[in-house]
Amino acid sequence: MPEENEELRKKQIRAVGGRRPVYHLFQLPSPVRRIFDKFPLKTYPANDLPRRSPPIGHFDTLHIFTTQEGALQHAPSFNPACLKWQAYLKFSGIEFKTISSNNHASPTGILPFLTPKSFSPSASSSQPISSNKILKWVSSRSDTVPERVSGMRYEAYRSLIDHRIRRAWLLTLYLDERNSEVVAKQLYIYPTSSNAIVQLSLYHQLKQAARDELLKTASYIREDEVYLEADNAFAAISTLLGDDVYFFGNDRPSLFDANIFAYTHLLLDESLNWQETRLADSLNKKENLVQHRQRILTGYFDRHNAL
Amino acid sequence: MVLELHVWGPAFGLPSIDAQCLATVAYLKQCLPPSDWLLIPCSDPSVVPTSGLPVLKVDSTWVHGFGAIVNFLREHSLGKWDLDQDLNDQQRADTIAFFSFLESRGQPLLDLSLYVSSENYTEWTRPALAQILPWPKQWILPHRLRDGAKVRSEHLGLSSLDIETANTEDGETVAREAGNIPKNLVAKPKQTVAGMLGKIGQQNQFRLDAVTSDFFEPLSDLVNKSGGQSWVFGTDQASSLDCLLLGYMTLMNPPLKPPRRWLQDALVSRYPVLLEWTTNFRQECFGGPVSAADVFSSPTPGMRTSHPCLPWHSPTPISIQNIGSTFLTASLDSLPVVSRYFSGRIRRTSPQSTKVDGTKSTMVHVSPNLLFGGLGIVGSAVGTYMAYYMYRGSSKSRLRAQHGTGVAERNTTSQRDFGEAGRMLGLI
Repeated sequence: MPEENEELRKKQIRAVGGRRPVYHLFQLPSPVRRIFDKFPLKTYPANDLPRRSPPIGHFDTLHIFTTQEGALQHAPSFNPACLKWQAYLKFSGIEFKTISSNNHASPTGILPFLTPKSFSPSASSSQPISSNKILKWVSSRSDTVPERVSGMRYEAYRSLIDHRIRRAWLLTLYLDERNSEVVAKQLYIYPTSSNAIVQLSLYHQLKQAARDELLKTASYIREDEVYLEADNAFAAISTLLGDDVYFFGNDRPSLFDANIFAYTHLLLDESLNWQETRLADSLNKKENLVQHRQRILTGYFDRHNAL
Repeated sequence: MVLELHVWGPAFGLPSIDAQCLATVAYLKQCLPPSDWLLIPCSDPSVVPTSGLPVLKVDSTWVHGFGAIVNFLREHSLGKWDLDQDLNDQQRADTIAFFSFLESRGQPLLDLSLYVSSENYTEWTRPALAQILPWPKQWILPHRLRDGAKVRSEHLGLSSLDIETANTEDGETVAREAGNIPKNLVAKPKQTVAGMLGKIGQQNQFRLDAVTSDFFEPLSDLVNKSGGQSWVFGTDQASSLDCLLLGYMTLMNPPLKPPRRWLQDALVSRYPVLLEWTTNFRQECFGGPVSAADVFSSPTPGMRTSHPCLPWHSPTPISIQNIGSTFLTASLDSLPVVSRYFSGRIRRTSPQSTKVDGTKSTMVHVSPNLLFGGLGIVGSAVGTYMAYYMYRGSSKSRLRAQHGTGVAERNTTSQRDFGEAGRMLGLI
């Protein structure tokens, strides 16, 4: 009996933060609290995943924006950020599967992410790898890691792709009315929901996000200027490539190749049904970049079509 | 014909507080004889129609932005005013690439150092802005610039340099950790203020080091290639890339130093060649230190002699109308829903492009509708508020008329009396 009393007293002390028991207005009366302390009465184990969910742990799996059929055929993703890593994984010779996914599925809120094959029997031990860690993961996994290029040129030209070309991409895909009505809706809106209201609100969110991104660095969006800068950027990158097979004189493609391929492929992909082709037109004038895209497409993406 | 270059006013001993403006000043200084152009420190960025600086005014054409000004000068003078004419294809490509590199990587770093870092902002940047901005703007614009800077530098993950955000973000992290997010994907907890200010900050120092060396490393290589003593391509005269590089580098290491010098320290300790290059060519392009007081107060002819290096010219005074519109836009910005609509609209207003000598230059016409629309919204808001007050007043007087003063008083209290619960919830 005295032990029980002791415990009760301790509990009370704990409840008010170790100080003298003071009864606040909002404090739960102790009999009620004792009942609630008993919950949960029984904890059930976690439910199994649905049968249709992809088996995790048997393959290295890259979650990207793509269609269901595209995922089966290993087709290139229609999102530049996803396509960049997809291409890079192909270059590194790692066998992997792709799964059609969306931002809500990603732990970081951003696609792509990768769920690695687990070597231990318990599937849950494999943790997803976000896009900014893929590079590190590949070098720990593959023996034939694509050459890591560094140096001032690499950084400077990379900023051309990530900054100038990306801005033009956002403008042409989301903010150009004709393209956004046809291409952006087809790629990102229709697969998400069949409800017209949801589609409309998503569409506006997408456009607003693109606009906010462009307005980060300028107080106005000047269409001509953005396209002109992208044109200059393509010219500079074309000069950098010159007559080489891959960038920086490598005989195998590297991350930089994946990065530029992500944009050149999508801009030149006629199946996307582009309406406004200003960006593609300026790219088409750079013969070596078009060939570079074709080289990667046939060398790394076509052979999987048969599978 | 004299070209007018409008730039942000001087600060920290440099001719301008903005990197692009500094770059443009350097370019014109290298490219044109001093008699052909005027340098006007802009006391109010909204008086120029592009609402962005630097702006070059030629007759009735306004050209905005460093790159556009360089292109314009080349085409306007039929190739005479062109610092890049001797470059080969590879060098031209490098110029384009480094333009983008400086703008996309350099600006966030400057944003961190000048605006996001609380101490630098309050003790260094804001006072400097206060000196170059006219009366109502100096209270409004610095905050807006700071907000822009925070958005631009968000991706560097160092927002905790700002003391206010560091405090509020702690709770968020705890909440995220409580969820079922795998450990290796949980964003790293934001650094604490104490850490950031250097008391325990080894880890943060790593982050800062990584961010600064990402930017300085390639530039240091670029300057090193030519030995650090000549312009980056080893040419006799500066190129446009030299000017832009100088613009960013001088603002990162100005003659007057900020209270928190992590950016300057990184430069001094790890990239001495880059530092030396900056200091040498700063002297050549901008002359000795300039202060805002020199430029704004003294009359035009006197200014030319006291700062012979640059053709300073005093700005036009600000009109009453402008002060009025400043107040209006500021009050619009602080309204919750309206501000988003208006800020979006102002920015979205598509500027008309006019072709001048084959160069796209930007002419902007700000429509008066916006002004009147804004006036209408503020007016109707005030109107609604007053109407509500009058309604409340009249309902009270009605009660008073029905019950007599004393009863009405009691009635109103009894209506609003929620008893114990009311007192507890603070309703009365």
